[in-house]
Amino acid sequence: MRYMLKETKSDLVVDILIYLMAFLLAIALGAFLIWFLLKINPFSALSIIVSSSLFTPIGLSSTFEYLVPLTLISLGLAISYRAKYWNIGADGQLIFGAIFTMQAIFSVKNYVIWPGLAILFVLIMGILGGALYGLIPAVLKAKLNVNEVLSTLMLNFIAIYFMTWLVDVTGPWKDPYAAELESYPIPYKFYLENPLILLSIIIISIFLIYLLAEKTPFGRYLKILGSSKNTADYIGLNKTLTYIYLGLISGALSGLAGALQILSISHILSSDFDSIYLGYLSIFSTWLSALNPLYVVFSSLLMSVLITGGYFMAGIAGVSQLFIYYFEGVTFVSIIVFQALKHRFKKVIKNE
Amino acid sequence: MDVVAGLYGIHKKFPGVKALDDVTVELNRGEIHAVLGENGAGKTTLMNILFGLTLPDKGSIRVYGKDVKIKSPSDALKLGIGMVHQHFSLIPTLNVIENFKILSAEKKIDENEILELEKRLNLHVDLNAKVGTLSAGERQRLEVLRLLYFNFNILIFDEPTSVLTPVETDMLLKELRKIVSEGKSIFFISHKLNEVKYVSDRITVLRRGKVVWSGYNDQARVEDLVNYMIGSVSISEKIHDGAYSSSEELLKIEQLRVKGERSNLALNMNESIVVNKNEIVGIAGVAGNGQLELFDAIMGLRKIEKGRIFFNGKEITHLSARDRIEIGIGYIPEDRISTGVAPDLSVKENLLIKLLDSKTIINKLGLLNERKMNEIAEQLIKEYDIRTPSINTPVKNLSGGNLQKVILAREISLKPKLLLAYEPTKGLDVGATFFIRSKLYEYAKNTGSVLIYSEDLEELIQLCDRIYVIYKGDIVAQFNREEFNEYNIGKAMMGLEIKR
Amino acid sequence: MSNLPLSIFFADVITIGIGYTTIFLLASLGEIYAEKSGVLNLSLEGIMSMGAFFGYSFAILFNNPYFGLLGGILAGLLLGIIFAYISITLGVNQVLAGLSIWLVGIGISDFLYTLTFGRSMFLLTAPTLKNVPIPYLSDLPVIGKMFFDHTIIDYTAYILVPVLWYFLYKTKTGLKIISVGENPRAADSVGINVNKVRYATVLFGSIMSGLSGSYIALTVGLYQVGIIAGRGWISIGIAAFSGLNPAYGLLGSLLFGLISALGPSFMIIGYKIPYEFLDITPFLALIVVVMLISKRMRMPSGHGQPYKRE
Repeated sequence: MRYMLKETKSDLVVDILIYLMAFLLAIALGAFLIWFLLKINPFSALSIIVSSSLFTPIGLSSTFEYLVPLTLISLGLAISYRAKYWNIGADGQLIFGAIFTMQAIFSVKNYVIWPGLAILFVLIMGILGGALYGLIPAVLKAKLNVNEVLSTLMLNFIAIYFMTWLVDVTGPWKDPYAAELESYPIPYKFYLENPLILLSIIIISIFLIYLLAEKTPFGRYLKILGSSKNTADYIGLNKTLTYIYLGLISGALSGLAGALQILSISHILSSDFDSIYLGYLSIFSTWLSALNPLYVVFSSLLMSVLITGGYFMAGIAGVSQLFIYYFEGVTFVSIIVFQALKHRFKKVIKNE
Repeated sequence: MDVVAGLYGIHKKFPGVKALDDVTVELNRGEIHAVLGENGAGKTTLMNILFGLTLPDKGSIRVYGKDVKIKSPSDALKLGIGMVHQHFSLIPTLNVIENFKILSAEKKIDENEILELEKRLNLHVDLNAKVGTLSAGERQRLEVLRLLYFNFNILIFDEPTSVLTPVETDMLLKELRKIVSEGKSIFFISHKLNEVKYVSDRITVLRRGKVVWSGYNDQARVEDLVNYMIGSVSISEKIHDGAYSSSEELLKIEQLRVKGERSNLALNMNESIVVNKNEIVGIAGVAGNGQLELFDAIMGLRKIEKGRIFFNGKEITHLSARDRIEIGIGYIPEDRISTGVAPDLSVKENLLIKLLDSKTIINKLGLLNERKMNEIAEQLIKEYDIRTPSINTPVKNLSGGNLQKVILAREISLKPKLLLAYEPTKGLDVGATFFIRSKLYEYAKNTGSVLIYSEDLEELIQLCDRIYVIYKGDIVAQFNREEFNEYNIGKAMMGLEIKR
Repeated sequence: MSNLPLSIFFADVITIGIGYTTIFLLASLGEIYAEKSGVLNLSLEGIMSMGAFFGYSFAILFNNPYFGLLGGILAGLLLGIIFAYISITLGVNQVLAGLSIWLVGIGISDFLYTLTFGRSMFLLTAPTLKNVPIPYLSDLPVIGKMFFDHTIIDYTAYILVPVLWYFLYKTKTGLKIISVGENPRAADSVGINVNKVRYATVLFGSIMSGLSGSYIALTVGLYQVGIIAGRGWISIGIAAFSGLNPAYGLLGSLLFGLISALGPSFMIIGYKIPYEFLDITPFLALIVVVMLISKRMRMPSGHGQPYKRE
């Protein structure tokens, strides 16, 4: 047993080193580009990112606004990726969560007696919307062997165009007084802006997904399915049902994120609703968390800081917020490379 | 002597094992040099080094008197070294001629010349057939033909007879003698003593990566070779006590039809299979005659097209694999690393993957009881002597023998009424083999029945109460323990009539 | 509606469709080769985006669209090398490697654009690829304009179909590619350098995608954020649809090229359908097509598996 403990400890150190190195590399490469093209001191750029996103009231609230959806979506992706179910359709599921939420609000807005209950109802409808949209690729994979990477991506495009139509001039929800492609705003009684409530939703979700992933047979089945499909068959695991549960759970979390976006931030549906592609960004925060539900909140926080900081930089230094995609890609690649080279690093670190 | 190829002072370490320890062998022109040894003795590793599939840690190789570095098979082929592998180096979706074309060699492909060669050596293969449709014997002939066509003078045969019926084996060995008489030289890798004794000029015996004996065939007595091969542990130790009485039926399989990988009917049974309580029943057959489909179908892992399976008097033909586990069917599958275990999960988790839903390890809230899990896992590890750094080590890091013990421990701990065992000891060392065979026998006599398939007839004869022979997807013969006879069973395996 | 707009409509669908087909054809032919050798490259969308940016900026810098094509090839080569290194040499899960290069490609190209040309006050247009009418044939009534008045790249893409088909199935090198995809171990032991073959097919595929991306930018002379708009993913879908046969790759590319041409063609004749519905069609069609074929699809046995000697 002592041998084991020693091994895990040094493994953790190696893991942390890998992440640090990947980050430094990505930041250095990004800094070099900025310095090379814009002649801006990269260190001041970095300090702008950190200070603006965490130490200004506006920045902090913006960071929190990103933290909520990124965490929720990444939780669903973390358990999906454990089973090697490559759901990259969180954007579509988020959008359908938002669409269902809007529809629910429009349907019940004139009959609200207890606002709290109404909000709960529209949240549940949002969850349902995301879950149903997440169910489609899961069923296609389980029943027809359709590759989920392709189907979820196609469904993202379909969701985006469908949403755009809803708020376009020919669509049913277009607010005729708005210049942009926007829907009617939701009534004030549906606003959900209390950060404590949002925070509790995140914490409860993390806790539940953690229990599911680490403490239940279902969580182990996901790991088995991810490790080898043949083994899953061999122990009699119902793969169809497992994929369907995964599609529903990860879709539900994205749908919840979409509903919360409507209730707490945008209050309208517009063609720009998901212009930052929260789902794609979540792939990254998921991978950064090493598929551990407890780490998801930290990786999502990091992403949120970078997004908010990116916006501030865009204002100050003329660097677009697209920095975030660049950073995401480069860090993603470096982490994967470093992880693959882990064994060699271990040898170097242990001085073997 | 005219040495064509030699390996000198070869060392090779794999994680946790010394595969080769200072091994030296030479091959003379026109001879068959057999490298004899147990599974895991290092024979294949040694030949893979000569063929460039594995790089040695230390040591040198000389071909035609010149020091050479062989870093890949293409280096070896350039030196005129060809190899017939245990797993064929043919592409099943291409046809025979196309399979000639993919081999890296200078020579042009001339169909007439190939046909002439076929005639001269009496090795017949249809040049336009898709390789996927050929039998194992035909594929091997094709491999040999291909190497000879390209004029490779140094040939390596790695366990060539493991996929052949006795008659095909006989044909191959005769061909090999003919080939060397034409000036080629052959390394012949085998663990089958009688073949080695029959075909070779010289013999080198490997044990645990070391050369324990080397000399001419006529200098070696069979008994000595056995000793060299396996050392002090004897595998022929008696396991079966001879007693055998059983009448109550546990499993009955009728008229089963199951499709194989290429959606042909791999299993097309007209005869029935019966397994009685507390009985060990063996299935004998050459690889690819439907035995894998049979075992998978009993476990519920393959769709049954037609036919019925009864278990304990109830029909289970359409039960799911899950339900079959519940009613008491266990399975030690052929593919250990990606079916028998979930490779990335820990030893502990793998010992429990079939128990995850059971009340023993979940509490009232539906959560896993880690303490209970550790308890069960530690107990099994002790009982089955599984060598692992810890219970949390990923199971893929264990050696083959320990991995198989994990599977065996898990399956037996579930106390199934019927335990299916497919090649349970293939590729394992003597110690682990003996351990597993004893456990299976003990289990059958005390707890439940065992249905076992093995390529190794000796294993079946050692363990079984009855043996069925499978050929082309059907049962063609049945032997009771007192009728066991290697020659007759071997004949039945080729679909030949047996006179009793 | 009179007959006239309808025939104009069909002519438009075909003329525009052939251009769109080129986009899909270049990318999917490359992907077919990569997958045939056993490597699933999911990063096409990112490589195409990079190809579009390089194509656009090279064409501006050298004031020549053909240098733009060179830029596209270069971009494909660059990302292809990274993808190949990660997925082949390091043996990282191909899905993961593909997704990461997709994000890198999109991220770098969009970011670089906003840092460079995107900062300009004016919209900078790059010189576009000129149509090269084929003498005599392009003068034929109706079909002359439809089929024989396109750019060099269009012709090249169509000519590549029989060439790549022949190369794959009828030459020694092609058979070696198939062998590597079907059974890498066996291929290794007949002296084929598995990883070398895979590098070659993956780089070829990446170059084709880069070229396809630069073609997109160079037909309009513009780059914009999100310019590829899912066409890389559709190309991967087409490769799957084709069963990895270049001939069927052409069929799939035509199908999706024509479907994609419906939208702009409706606009030209002024028919009012919400454009979102037209934009949705190729994606919906792809899901339906993949649904229909997935059950029967047979991929090479070594598909998706990194190869390592034991």
